[in-house]
Amino acid sequence: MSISNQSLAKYKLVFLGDQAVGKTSIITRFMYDKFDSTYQATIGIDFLSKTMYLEDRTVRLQLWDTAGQERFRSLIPSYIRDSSVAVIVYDVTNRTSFLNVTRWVQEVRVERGGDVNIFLVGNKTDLLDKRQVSLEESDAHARELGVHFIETSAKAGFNIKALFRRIGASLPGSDAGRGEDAANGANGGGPATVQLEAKAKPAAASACSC
Amino acid sequence: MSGRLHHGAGALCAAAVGGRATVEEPATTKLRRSGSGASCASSGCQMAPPHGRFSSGGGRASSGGGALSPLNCKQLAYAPPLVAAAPAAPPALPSPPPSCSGGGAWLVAHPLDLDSPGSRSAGNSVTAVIVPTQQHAAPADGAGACRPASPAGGCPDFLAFASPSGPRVHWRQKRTRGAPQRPGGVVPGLNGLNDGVWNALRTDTGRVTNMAALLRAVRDGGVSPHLRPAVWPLLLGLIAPGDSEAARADKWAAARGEFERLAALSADDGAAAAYYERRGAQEPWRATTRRISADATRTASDGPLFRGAARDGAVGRLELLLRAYALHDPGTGYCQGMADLAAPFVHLYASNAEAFAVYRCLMRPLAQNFAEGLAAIAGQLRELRALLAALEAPLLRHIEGLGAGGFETAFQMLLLMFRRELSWGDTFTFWEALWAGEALARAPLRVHAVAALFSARRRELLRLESLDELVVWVNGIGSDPDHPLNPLTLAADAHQMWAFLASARAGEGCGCVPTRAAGGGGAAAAAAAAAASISSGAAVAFGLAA
Repeated sequence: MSISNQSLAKYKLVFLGDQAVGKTSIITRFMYDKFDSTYQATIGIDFLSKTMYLEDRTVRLQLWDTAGQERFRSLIPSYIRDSSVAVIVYDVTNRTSFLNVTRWVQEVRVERGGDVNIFLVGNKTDLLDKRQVSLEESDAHARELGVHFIETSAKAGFNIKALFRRIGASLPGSDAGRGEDAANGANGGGPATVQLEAKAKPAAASACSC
Repeated sequence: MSGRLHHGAGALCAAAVGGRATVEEPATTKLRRSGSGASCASSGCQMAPPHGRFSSGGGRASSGGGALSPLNCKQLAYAPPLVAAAPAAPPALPSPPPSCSGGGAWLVAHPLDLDSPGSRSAGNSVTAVIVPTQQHAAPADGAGACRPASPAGGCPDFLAFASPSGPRVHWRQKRTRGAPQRPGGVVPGLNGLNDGVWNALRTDTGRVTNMAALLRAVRDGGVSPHLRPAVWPLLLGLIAPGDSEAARADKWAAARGEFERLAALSADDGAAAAYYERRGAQEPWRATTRRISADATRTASDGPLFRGAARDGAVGRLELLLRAYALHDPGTGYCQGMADLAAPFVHLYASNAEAFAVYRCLMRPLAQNFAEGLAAIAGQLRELRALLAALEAPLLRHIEGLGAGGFETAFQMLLLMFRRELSWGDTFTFWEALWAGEALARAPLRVHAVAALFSARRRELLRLESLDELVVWVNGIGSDPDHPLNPLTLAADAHQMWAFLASARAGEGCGCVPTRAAGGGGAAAAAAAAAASISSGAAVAFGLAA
């Protein structure tokens, strides 16, 4: 196991976004398929890694979870210097967190230029009646910024696998993955799903082969 | 352990550290405290009385290991001497602030706190349990006996380790390495500040007669949980040791009044916003309250009060406390992590006003850690690096090789004083032991605690091969069943590292150094130089100079 792990291609993912938007929850849902509404606020940085099986190969994802507190940002750059993917999360029920996305994207671009795939993730779609940011608006904003976009609910487990599937497909040298990603109707910049899906059946994500 | 005690001139000089064998077990030596004065009569080496754990029981003197030598006396001087060895204190200490000193800076000024003969506890015999703290054996022939630079000068205890024939110089002693690790956590109060000690160290009106003894008891054994509400205000500087009953009541009343004013203000969003935003707030009041709510609901889920039926009430109280604090200090407002620091105060005090009053004292020196830009924490991370450079150079090189030389990985434990790494109960013990150590050292020791932990776990650290392994290791440090964190060891190590460096610094001006062989002296000199360079930076980093 350790030998195969050694030989696996490793990719660094950094999770960014405002306080309490669900960065840790998304990671925990992906890692352990669990959700807890009382995760402690992340202070500083956390690290987890997981092997992911793509169509044509197996990769090791290194997930870097960061604190959302704005004042802690000065600690973050050193960790995103060599990241392949930046996952910028906002809370669809908190408009401010959505408006701050632009700053996060800028920060990543300043640090990494074009050598990074950025995913914009609107989390907490399960809180239907509290939504402050529409799918359409987010989609348009993502296109404007030139980043991938998807909505998720870590609580309901909705679209989490799809998110990571798309991340896997976006990794350098992942042609087969990219093909499948396109087959899911979710190529870069387009909405991964429609809002109705979130309402009707959160389990839809399990249709994903990952 | 076997050996004999030495009662010189009524002094409490017994050390039980006659030889290397005595350090193989963390045994304690009980002895009867008999009267006043505390110098090692036979050594000519004046020193502070050995620190110890005081208990009220009538324990009898038991045996120590081997005969005392002058160096044995010094070996007890783990506690930075408060009286005799003034050089051991860091230079250029600030004058104590009027209240809420946080680091116990009032110690400097208060007449009742020192271990002067007159301040001994009312002539009663108090049993002291002395833990042999510095195990490195002195040369048997006593050739290493040092000559104090001046009659009043202390003998830097690092010289005992610097002997060419002795063991390798290292700040950490076997005592801590061999300290009992109790999987279930320590039992605060068992050896620390319990009812007996607490009562013995106070007058009928509640004035503390011997603050230094109280601090040592707390540092070495923590505080009995039921005494914490009374002791924490003392440790955090809300109450001064010599305060009369009336003075204490006044201070509480003032703090209560302040809280009630802020709580009333926070209940009125409009007024609070105007007040907050006019006084240097970094963001709108609404944004602050939103973030406070988001964090209050997910903090301290390991605290008994924050679970089950009482949870909602506790969360509401935590929220109120944090709002009041944000209004009290709009420049700092609320920053993540402050909820972690505040939750124990909600637990400790049934009264919101009292929780606020004491929390405010905690935050007085810590608020800058949360300030925009994190300059203070960045300074402390540099300080951590400097400590490891001085004491654990190979380890530092290894960590740098992993790409973690900036020590951002230590951010959480430093910012939250191990709240996340320690269990709920152990957090209380660690904090109070740390504060007591800081008051005794008259220096902040949070960075030392982290450095000491890294140093103590150097073998594990040296095995790590990548930055991610390091982050996983750091974040998992509190949940490793094979190596449970002991809060008292953590605090004692911090103090011990500080004392080592302080001694090294003091040793620069001590005539002892040249009498040593080059090897030991060189190492000591290097430590002294490092200590000197660290101390100036530390004062700035911790805002002590402010």
